[in-house]
Amino acid sequence: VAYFFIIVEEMSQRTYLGEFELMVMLALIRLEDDAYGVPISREIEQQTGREVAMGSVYATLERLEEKRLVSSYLGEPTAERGGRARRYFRATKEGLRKVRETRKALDKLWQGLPALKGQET
Amino acid sequence: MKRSKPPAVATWLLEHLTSRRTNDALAGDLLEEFTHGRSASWYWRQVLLAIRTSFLKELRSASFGLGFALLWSVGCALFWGRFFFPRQIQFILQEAPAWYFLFPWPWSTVVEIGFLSALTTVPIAVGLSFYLLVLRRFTISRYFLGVSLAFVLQVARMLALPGVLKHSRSFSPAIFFAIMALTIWVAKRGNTGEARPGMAPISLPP
Repeated sequence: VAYFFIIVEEMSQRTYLGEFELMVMLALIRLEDDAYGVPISREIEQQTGREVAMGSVYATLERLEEKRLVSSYLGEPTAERGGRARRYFRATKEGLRKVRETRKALDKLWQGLPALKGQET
Repeated sequence: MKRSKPPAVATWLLEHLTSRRTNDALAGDLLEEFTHGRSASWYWRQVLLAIRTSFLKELRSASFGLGFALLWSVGCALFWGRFFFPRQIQFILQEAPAWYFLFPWPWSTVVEIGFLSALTTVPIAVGLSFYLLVLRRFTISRYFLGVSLAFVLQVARMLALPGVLKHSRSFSPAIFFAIMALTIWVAKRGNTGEARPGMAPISLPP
């Protein structure tokens, strides 16, 4: 029983980042010190052309934080936000390492795909 | 004409049906976007998607606990419930006249309910410690919260069911599973004020 639960737990901590996790990581790295929910969602929307659910962005950030790939802190509450504070996110060293690792793996997989040769724009 | 405030019902739903950890920042973000020109329908859509995401996450997280509670209950029903529990009850019944002498009624009943509740809480406490240790979520306060809840539920079960003490002398796998699942759920969610392992504590920027 213990081994089963350890395996399940390990499965949830995958080695590589998922597609949306990678998008969120790249957006917050690009935004540097201004990375909170609104600009992260806008960045992904602008780059992908798809509407993003902000709840999914937060769920992903929460998961990344649990994996210690991202850290967060609260800003000052503002009247524009009904007295609520912004939660700023920052990639940790481990998070940056994971992004590089994922890129390296994806680059290797992309190399020499005969069916996709000449289709890159 | 565009309304100046977002739909109050949607905000209420967001605040009450999503993860406590993020809903404040998320509600602030949605309000910020709304004041910058997003529509009420966009606001509603975002709120409903956030609730769905939060619910699915909760369900996924709870499914591990339910699976463990089921396996532990089956294991306890096969071994502890079949072999050890009846022997322990028999021993208690043999010793009962002695404590009826020591604790006159109604204290004898109070002691018996307390003792039987503690006895049936033991396998739940063992299972809970095992579960929290395996998932690396063990903290004393969380464990204490879970075990206390299990004990209170066992007492409530004995007081609520007809034929109180007679019923408590048999092992019920279904009730055991229900109490185990609830204990795990509460203990896992228990906000102890400590950072969970793997989660960076929140602090103000330097």
